[in-house]
Amino acid sequence: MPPNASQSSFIPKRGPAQAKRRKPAKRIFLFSLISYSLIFASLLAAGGSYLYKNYMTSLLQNEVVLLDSEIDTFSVADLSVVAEFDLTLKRAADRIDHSASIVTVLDAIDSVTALPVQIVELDLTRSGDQELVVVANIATQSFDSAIFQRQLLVVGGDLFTNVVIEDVAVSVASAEDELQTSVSQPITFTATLSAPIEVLPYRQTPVEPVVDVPSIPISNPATTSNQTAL
Amino acid sequence: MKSLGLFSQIIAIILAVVVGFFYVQPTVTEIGEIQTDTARYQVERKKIQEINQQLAQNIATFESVSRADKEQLAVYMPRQADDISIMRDISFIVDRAGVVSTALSYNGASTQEAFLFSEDDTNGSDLGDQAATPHAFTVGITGTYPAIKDFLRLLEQNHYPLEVHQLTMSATETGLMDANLSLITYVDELSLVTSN
Repeated sequence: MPPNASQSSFIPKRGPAQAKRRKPAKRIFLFSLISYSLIFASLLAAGGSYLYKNYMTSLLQNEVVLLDSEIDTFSVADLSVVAEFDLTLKRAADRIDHSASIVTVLDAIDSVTALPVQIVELDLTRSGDQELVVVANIATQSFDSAIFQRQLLVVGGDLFTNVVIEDVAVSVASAEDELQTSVSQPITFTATLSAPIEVLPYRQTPVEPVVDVPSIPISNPATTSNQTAL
Repeated sequence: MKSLGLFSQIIAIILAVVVGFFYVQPTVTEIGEIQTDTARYQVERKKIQEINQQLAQNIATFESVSRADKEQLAVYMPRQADDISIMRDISFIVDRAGVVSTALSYNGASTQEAFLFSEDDTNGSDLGDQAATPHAFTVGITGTYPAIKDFLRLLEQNHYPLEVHQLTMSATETGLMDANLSLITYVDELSLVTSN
């Protein structure tokens, strides 16, 4: 056979290197993918939740420790001292706020009492912390004086919010009773005056002793009484 | 990745569901509770911190008050009613005003007055039932009208309250005046604080 006989053959020739074997296609099953995903996800979630729980538990424990230390810092004794002092201050302030000067009331009554008029009896009552009620039995020489006195009480008294004149009576003088005050002032009536506590503040005015009393110092109750200092 | 067998895949899915249902979900719920607790503890700790800070400030304020002022406050609003000391002080005032004492007695704690003030305090101040306890004294004096006014003025200038709650004045035949007074002083009883 001549050497070029193969080239003239009509049968196609193929070299041995060109013969490639086809690999089979990789098959991925959907069910396998889901199962893999689920198992890994559950394991990851379990691990993550375990670690996060530990972290949160440590945070909680830390918070409890801090809370305990804050509670330990709190002093009941200090609170008691402060609360007692506060209550004492409030009570003292309350009494000062509701203090009323009786001298102011008497001065006001003096200023609205005409000279010939005589106050036979005066009764002053404090009604709680609201008001002072003054009931005065007043005797005058005539109806004109009584009317004038009533006018003074109603118009003149700035302190008094309510003025009531009642029980007007006329006494008839007998020979024996001439010397008695109530008959020499035959017209008597009762005046009821009320003044709110808040308009009667205490005003500090120096006191001039009426008689010379040997200087007896008013004791300082802080040193004499058994009051306990704060 | 080598494919599992069908049985193994089913087992893996069941295992995943079991882990999720029996471990992950309860753990997540537990984490939620822990977070809630932590938040609550934080809130409470902040409250206690604020209270401690407030208390420290109040203690500092309390300590900044001078001893003399504290003593004066204790005199003004004492813890106990020392009736003998108070009666002695009233008799000093009687002597200083130049009036003559005709009666002086201690009537004890006045619960009726306390009731009155409690009623008023519900409208006016915030003390309510914690108002100071009133103690009553009865005083009778005789003197001139200016002397009686001086006596009243000295009562007002006293170091502790001696409030006049009842005053009856009437003229006598000698030209002087009789005055009967009901005085109230206050005691700072702290039973309510200690009970709280």
